[in-house]
Amino acid sequence: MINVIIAGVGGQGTVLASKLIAYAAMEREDFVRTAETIGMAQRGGSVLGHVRFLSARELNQGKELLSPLVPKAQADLLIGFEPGEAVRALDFLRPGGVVVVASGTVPPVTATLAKRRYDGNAELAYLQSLAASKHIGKLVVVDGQSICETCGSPRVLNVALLGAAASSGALGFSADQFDKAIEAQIKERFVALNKQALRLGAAEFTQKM
Amino acid sequence: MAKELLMGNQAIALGALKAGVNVVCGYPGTPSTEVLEAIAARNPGGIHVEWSTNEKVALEVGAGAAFSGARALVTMKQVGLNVAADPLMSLPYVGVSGGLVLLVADDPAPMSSQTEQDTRQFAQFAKIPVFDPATPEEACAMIPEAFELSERYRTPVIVRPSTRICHGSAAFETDIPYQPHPVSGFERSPHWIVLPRRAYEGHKEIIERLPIIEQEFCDHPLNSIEHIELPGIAKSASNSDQQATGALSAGQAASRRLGIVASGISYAYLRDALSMLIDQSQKQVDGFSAETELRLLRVATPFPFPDQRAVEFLDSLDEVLVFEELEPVVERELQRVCGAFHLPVTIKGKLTKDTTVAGENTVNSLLQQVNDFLSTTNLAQVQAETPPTDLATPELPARPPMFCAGCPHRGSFAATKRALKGRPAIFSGDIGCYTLANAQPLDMIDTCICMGGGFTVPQGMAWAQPDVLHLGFLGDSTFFASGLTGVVNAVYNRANLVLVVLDNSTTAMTGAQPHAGTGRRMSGNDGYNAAVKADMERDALNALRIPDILHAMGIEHVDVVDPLDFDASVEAIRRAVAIVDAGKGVSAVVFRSPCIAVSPPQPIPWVDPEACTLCRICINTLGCPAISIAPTEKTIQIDTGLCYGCDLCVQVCPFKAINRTGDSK
Repeated sequence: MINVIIAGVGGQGTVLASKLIAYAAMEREDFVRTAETIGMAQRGGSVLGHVRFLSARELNQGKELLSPLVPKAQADLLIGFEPGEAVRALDFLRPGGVVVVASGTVPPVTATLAKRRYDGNAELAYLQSLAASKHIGKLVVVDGQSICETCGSPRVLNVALLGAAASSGALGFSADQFDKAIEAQIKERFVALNKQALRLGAAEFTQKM
Repeated sequence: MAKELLMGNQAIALGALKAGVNVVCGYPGTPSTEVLEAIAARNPGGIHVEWSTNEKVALEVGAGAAFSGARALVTMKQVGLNVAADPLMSLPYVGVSGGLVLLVADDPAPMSSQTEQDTRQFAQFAKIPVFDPATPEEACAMIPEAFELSERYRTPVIVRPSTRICHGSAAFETDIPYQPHPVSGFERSPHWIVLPRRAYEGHKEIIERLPIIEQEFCDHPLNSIEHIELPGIAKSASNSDQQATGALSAGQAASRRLGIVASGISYAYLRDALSMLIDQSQKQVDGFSAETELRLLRVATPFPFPDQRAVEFLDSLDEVLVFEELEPVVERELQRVCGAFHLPVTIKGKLTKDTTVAGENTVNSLLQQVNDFLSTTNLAQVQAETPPTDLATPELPARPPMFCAGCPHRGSFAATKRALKGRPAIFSGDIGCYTLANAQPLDMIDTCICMGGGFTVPQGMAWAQPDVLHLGFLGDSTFFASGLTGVVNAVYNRANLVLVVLDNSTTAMTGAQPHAGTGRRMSGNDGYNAAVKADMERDALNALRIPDILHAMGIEHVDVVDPLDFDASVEAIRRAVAIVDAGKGVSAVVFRSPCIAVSPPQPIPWVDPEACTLCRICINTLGCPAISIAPTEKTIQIDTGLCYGCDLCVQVCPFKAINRTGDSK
């Protein structure tokens, strides 16, 4: 079983990210469950996506998957859409799990009102020290902003992070596995753009490891 | 056949299509909204799908269809059932002809609700059978079953999923052929008229049929009893450390016959928690000298409660732990069964504080509570280490939900605040996105209890405290759902206050559903997808106009203003307040500008770094998520990905440092 937590801010495209992981896994006949934050909390608040999948082999062995929620300390992979939200969701990560995090921040109004500039550096440093102490098995910091600039769209951060996550090995499949899901779930005119972001995200991992 | 990933609510919609549903009505409410939308999206034609004005209207429309022999599905969230309580209570008395199923979604650890009420209790109160699914797959399958039960016993039936089922997704075959249920037509009968004498007869019929339904439920495959072998549990309980801390000895543990009961999604959590504990047991190197048998009961139909099934489960057990969310419904039923059948079983749960009393259950909470109940030592191994404590966790910025960048409500509230600067006033709010005006820096909503309360609560406050200015706020969808009677009351009883309608041309909080004020419908000639994109002018012909309604109800002063025009909005509030100050009764302001979910983005403004003094007036007046402090810490910056081009910041900036696109320096 693979457990994934997606942590971000409402409006960042986290829901599509879980959907793409689910479809990529379904492509290989895995059994999938997901859960999302929908409703009031979505309005600029912290959102969490849960994705869980069992392989066909596990299913045949009689394993079952009933709850859509990843238990605490059980996530194999944590995808943080921004540094603060990655840290906020850390208690879901199992020791030695993989963290893929975008370095760009979404500054909350609370920080702006409190005259505090929130740049995410303290959060990234914290993640790095956890990686040094091996609590985090692999840490991939993705420069989402430059990928978005290269692709010419601020909306491809989610797919770039999926590319990095897949090439880290934490999903049990490669970035190519997302191609069909992207074609089926994303409007045709944005498909090429998203595939480019996927490849750039995947390259971020290989470069940094 | 390829499978589709469907949210529980979409799966419920599939179930309705499978059942050949004829009429679907509801009122939007998280977490129930997507059920009706998914039926509309997959409507092969021939299903009447409507967003009704409110839940009471929806249930009555659905009842009428069912009286005529159609299958009707009525959707709402749990607090919506409060609004529909009046017809709900009578319907079991008059009965139905075609199936009538209510899909009522509960919201534990409220993510979008004002209460943690439990629809299963409402079902008991109204004497209506209720199904409680544990997964989206079960929720889908329960819909056709509920329709059949409804027709077999001529009773409405409730299916009650909770948020994690509604918004949890799984893979489904979606190629469902739709066969409309044949509509038999209305047949006259004294049954349909709930006169007092008929109510007495109806009550007797309900009392006669419930035990028969209970018998059916006793044989329901989802009200299952399972036996689980727990290797190593008793062995672990003999651990001397545990004895020292007061845990049960091996002998006691072995002699204690234990059972666990779960209802709704708690059953899914229980299965996950048990397999984690058992996996851990099997990893232990010690041999298992004793094996404990654990008995499980799963309750999928909390009302009428399957007594005989429960007796079979409880027989010869000593202790039982009950997992359910919201109210201790199953726990109380088990206590009753123990009393009625003289069973010496200790029932533990919310009432004994052995399980979580409020909020939602999780696999983690169940792990802890099952572990305590079974006295195992496995938990420590299951619960992995938390991050090392020698590292200081960075202090994370709070991220409460707030108005989106470009939200017109921001303008309405900021202008009202500016107009009343320094003057004591009380702002009564209502249910909708605008409740978020209570967040900093607007900090404006003082009360919020229910749909419609935004116009009526301030009337009572004004009678109690006439020397303070009172303003009531509610949205356009809420205005039609529950606001109208409050307006009539204010005019009739000559209340002295300002009523403000925040008209953003949609039901925004639940994801942009149309309503009477937009003229757009969910089915009819234009279908849902076409309706969303429909030509606004043609829609306007059908739309009910809120200012006209306010006039017709007797409010003389009704101002309509664009909340994205800051100065005009400030003036509109001042004029409305002047009417109230003069003691001339109710005045009204309609702030009208579409939600960003139903309107295109506008060109975004630019910041002149030389003119910006970082005076923070834009930040403190608007609290817009697209505005933050630039890395230079000398000016503000605008996030071009978030900004929607409402230009409110341009208007509140006193230094002309924020400029409209096209404006030169």
